Amino acid sequence: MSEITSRLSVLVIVLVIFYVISDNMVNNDAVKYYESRRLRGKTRPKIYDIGHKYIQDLTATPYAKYMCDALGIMSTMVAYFAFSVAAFSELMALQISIFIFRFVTINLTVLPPVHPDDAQYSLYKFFLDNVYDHQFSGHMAYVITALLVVLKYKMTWLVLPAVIVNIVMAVLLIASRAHYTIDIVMSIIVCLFFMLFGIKAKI
Amino acid sequence: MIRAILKAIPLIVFLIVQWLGNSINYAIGTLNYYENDSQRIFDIGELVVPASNSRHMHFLGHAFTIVPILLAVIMFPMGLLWEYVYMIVLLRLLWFGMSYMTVFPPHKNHIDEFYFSAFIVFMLCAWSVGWASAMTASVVALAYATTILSLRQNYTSNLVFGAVIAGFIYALRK
Repeated sequence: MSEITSRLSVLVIVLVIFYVISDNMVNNDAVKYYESRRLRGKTRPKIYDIGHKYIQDLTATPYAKYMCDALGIMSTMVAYFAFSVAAFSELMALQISIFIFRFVTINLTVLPPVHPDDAQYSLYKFFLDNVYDHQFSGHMAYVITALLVVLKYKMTWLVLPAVIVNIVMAVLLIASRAHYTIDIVMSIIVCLFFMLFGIKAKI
Repeated sequence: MIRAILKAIPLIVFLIVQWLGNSINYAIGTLNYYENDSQRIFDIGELVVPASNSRHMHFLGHAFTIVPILLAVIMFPMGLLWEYVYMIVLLRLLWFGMSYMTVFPPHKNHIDEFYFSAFIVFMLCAWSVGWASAMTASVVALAYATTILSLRQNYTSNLVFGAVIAGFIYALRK
């Protein structure tokens, strides 16, 4: 009985400490943010995001968004030409399974666009420039999976460029307000999860 | 030529999958945030699962949170228990970071679905020692997820990501 009590107390103390610290920090900021919006009579949902708070908003210029698209396309093109058939097939198999999963998750909880004007419907956005596909980032999934395949197939000359592309992509996605910070982090975790468990389409 | 075709086919499949998901998502988003000028976050769980604020439901939610921890403390062998504690602490650290990054309205830290993740870790541990089949674990996890959605304590995607993160932590420990 005393052993169980001591084991229980260790577990409870650890959990309580973590819970109290993290919960208080998050709730204080959230209450400040959402309460101030309520008092100012704001009605549209807006999400508090730490990346949006500290990284400059580059939505006034479209270049950040174009850069993200360019980096995504470029990484696929580099993979197409530089990877072996086996490595490229693995990349595609991984990306197909991740994007099938993303197909589901982006439609489960749809977060609002950062700028209210973006909510307006346009045919161009429908085909090419979706503003609602937040959780999780597909752009980030492109480059993370490319990096993971580069590491797996030991293409050492590509490791550094791939890491740089990943960092630049993460910053640009937040700067262009295409994604929330959590989308980027979740994208990394989901890609690692798929890679670790070897979940990929059969090609 | 064959090499080019071999590479092009999966690329086309991938692009179709990606575009299809995006277009459905765009339609949902536009309908929710533009047409209706909605103040709420669109969540499929809120559409599918009826809301409940009853005492029984709250009790069930608390039971799902506390019972696994108690069961782990009482029944897990010492080695597994410490691994469980280690994974829970890792989870808490990860969720702490993540819940501080993006905070969903209303005031609660909605991204922070730590308890559901902890529950999945418990079920994975129970499954690893043969105390629960994969089917039992899935059904119980689904029941817990439905309770959370019914109480409107979190969003559907956070539950899905909670399960992914739990699996990720479990895979790391392995």
